Amino acid sequence: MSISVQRITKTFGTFRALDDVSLHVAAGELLALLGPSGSGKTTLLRIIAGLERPDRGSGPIRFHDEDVAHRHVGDRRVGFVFQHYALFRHMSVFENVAFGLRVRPRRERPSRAEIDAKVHKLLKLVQLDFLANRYPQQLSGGQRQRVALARALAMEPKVLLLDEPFGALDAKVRRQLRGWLRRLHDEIHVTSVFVTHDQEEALELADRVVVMNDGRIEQIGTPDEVFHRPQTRFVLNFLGEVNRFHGRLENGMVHFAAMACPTPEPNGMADGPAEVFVRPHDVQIDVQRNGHPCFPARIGHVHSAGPLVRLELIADSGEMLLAEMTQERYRALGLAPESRVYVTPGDIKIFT
Amino acid sequence: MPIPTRKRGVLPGFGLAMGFTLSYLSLIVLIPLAALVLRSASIPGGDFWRTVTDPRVLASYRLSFGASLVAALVNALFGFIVAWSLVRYSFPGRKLLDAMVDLPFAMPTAVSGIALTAIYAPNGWIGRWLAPLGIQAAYSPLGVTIALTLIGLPFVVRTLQPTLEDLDPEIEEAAASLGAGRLQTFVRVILPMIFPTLLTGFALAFARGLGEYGSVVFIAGNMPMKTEIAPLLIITKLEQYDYAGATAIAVVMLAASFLLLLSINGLQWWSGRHATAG
Repeated sequence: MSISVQRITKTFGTFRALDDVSLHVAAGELLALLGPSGSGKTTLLRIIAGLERPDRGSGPIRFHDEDVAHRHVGDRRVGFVFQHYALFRHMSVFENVAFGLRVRPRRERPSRAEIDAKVHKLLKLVQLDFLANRYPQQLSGGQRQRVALARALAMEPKVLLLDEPFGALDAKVRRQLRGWLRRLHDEIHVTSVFVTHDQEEALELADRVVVMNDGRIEQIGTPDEVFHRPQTRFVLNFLGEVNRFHGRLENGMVHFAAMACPTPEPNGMADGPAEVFVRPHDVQIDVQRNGHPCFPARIGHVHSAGPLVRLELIADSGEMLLAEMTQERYRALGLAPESRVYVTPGDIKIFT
Repeated sequence: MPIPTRKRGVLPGFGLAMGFTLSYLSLIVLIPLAALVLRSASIPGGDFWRTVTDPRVLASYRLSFGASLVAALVNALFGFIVAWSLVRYSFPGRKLLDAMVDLPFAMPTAVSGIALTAIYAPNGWIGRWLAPLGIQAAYSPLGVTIALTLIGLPFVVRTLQPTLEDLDPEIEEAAASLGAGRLQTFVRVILPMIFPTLLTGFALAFARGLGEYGSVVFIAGNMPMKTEIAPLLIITKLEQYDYAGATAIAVVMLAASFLLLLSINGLQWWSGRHATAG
């Protein structure tokens, strides 16, 4: 079941949470809505679910080809997993999962035996069958998360929506559940949208990532695309660390930090001031000039506890920047704080 | 061998806290009540039985317990609605309304009694509209119930408010997204979660109603066998220097209230057995 929303606007008082947003989610896709808090990602998810109404004048919300904009949340058949799980604490795990089946109108309600079989099947799917008679307070955060997921799946949702699914868990459990959710999605293949502010989570888990900021969509693409070919300054800044230089464009060359190099692609940008961005892992360090355009700098702090060595560099022209290199290369170059080096920025991105 | 150490809390430990609790409860509650029971024990059994089974006394028990029960039930329903509105909706004057809920606590009960009588008497603001319908509000069991409802309302509202504030709206959204209608959400999700608290409010309002005197005696009319409440009979006996009779009536009320409150507590424990902090 595909999801398509068009020209959605939502304001809370004077705050514009969503500003003319359109989005298409392909059937069976796992899509991430990624952005800082206040970017409108949760609002968009809640509008898709029907928990929030878009402003007047917004376009349709389609599930497959059917406009569901005026349907109540209960009639949309969406499985919604809440950030804080929203489990019913007076019901056992079994009863929580069975809830969506028990509240169906009498004619559509499965028999007692069918409910029983279905709930146990789902609890097996989320590997919690042995906890069926426990109550939510007796479970760990990760287990509650999986109960919430099983409860949402019990109603055979057309789409699955997850709001910060791992937001309240500690780092290690997050990582485990992330892999588990990806495998689960590959198994059941229900169209899924999840909201996160954690770029690592979005890039690792999703088929496509929607980067949002200030109520607008900045870029939609595969994790590779948004990370390696960011279309806006915001996406570049938000996904991973980046060094920024103030520079100038002149005749197809870009001048910054006491060096000049050809612009990466002839993109017809007019001459004038420009911002130049380089990721720390694309900064190459040498002790001598290597024939490529480069600029001199000296090493400030060195953080070497970790798989990569992170260097703080101070360019002779005054800019500060970060660089990353392997432990081997760091030792091979014989670097130390205060060493003089030459910096060759690779894979530069320019925005005017 | 490691010696198990006791967990230390922030406040002074078990010994001190328990000692304080016991002596405080003894001074304020237990000793006066024990005196009452002892006093009644000195009454010859036959006299005791004759006093408490006197038709006039029995009628007063029926009225006191009956009217308190009805008033507490009414308060449980409408108190819930008031508390829900105060917690969930924001409307102009909400703070004012919120403060007004406490008024029955603060007013001398005689004042509320006189006010109610003035309004519900056959020539009062509301009473004059009820009289043609054949409803006599003041000087009837209905009047007693009205007075007890007024007195009990803040107990239910103030007890429920914190629980309703803790009730995450996400819970209702979750139920709705799973296909539950409004009624199903209320009956299957919200009510079970607030039921223990609602019972507490009900029990408090009920207990307050049993002991209420000041606001009732004006509106009740105090006709023997019809609109006499038990506390009034106790006062009447005291005024006649019949201390033994007053004590006997009081002891029966005490025992009945205690049993009722105990069973409500039991029900509350049973319904809230899974709703520990989480």
